[in-house]
Amino acid sequence: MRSLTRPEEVTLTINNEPREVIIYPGETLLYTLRGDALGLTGAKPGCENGDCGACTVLIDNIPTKSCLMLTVEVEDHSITTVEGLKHAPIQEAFLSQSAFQCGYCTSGFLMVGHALSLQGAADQGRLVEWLRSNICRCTSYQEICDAVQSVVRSEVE
Amino acid sequence: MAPFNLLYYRPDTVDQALDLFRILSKEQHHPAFYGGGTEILTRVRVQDARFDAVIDLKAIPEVLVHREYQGSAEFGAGLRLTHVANRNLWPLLTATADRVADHTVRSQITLGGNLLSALPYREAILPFLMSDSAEAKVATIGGMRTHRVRDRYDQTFKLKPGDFLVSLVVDGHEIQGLAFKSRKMTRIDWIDYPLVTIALIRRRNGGIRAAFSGWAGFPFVSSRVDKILSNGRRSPSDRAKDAVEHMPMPALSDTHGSRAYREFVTQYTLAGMLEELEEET
Repeated sequence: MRSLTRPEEVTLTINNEPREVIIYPGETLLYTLRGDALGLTGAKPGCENGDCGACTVLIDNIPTKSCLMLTVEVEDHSITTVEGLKHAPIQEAFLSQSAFQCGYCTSGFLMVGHALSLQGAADQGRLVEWLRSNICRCTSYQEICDAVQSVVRSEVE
Repeated sequence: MAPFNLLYYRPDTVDQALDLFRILSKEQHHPAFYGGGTEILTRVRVQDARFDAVIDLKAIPEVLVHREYQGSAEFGAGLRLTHVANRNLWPLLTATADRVADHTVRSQITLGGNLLSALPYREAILPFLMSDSAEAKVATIGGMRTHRVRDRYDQTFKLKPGDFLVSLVVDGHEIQGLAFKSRKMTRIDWIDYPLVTIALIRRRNGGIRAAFSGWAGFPFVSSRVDKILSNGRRSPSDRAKDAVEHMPMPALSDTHGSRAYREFVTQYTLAGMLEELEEET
């Protein structure tokens, strides 16, 4: 049985690297990632209520809102943040499609788009369903959708 | 947001989880069983809950069961809603569960977490409320107990403090080829709490069963409404109007929609669903 009742040093696998960090039992993954020890500020605090998606990271390649997950839950899982994408096709697509304005939501959308591109083919309905998890206040939705579409293989191909 | 003041435990067995709850309660803690965590963390964040310890059930094998077995389908309470939808053992459950929250959050929310939510909106329970065979396996200090879902449901699925939901079982024969419709109506956005979510099934004897979420502060079924909807001699729109007039409680009036608007949306949605269901079967 795993328990965490006081701050403890744990090893997390982030962007394919082991990272040691001290965590509190009630610490969200968003808080851990953005803290001084890790400094991975690509995941953004928005609503911190699971609505906006700005804090989205991948856990075992599945998009996850890091404000809604305790860090202790993901000790034995692979965490990917936007810092780990390193010129992934989705990033190039966002640039070429101008799929952002202020940029605050961008890392969350990138993570959803990247995860979808790893899933293989997806039709338009599935693409939209995944992207509905995130909010862009500048309303760049069409450009974001186009960018993700350009890296996700269509199911009809 | 600074770390929450929570103790965290992840037991490996049902007995460990039950013992932990008992011990923590005896030590004057306020433990909660923890599934996906989405509701507990959001409630703790706004200080709407007194939990100071969570018992994460996701390492317990019985809670993660997802299988067709001896003519039944079994769904562990710890299954993520996206897993339930992707495997699609019960298309009606897929249809209702796959409209909870958004896709990313559904990959965190568990079936048990949605069924036992403190929020009014628990779309995943609608199929189980309409089923004759649905049973819940509940872990108790006295051992594993099995209860018919409809017998234990009164606004919420009733559990004693310290007991937890392990899995739900439905008869494969009952759910195979079942004609159904499910629709979640929101005021503006696709992703929102529902004005009303309606699930309909057409039973093999032709009778209609309906379940509703969003109309009131809890999901419900009503035999009176089912009887009205099953009267195939009347038009779908007449039956829908009559059903709305004979709901067991008045519609909610809140920020999502007034009572009159909810009634209007429910009536025309119900009429359309009835028409589609009866055309197809």
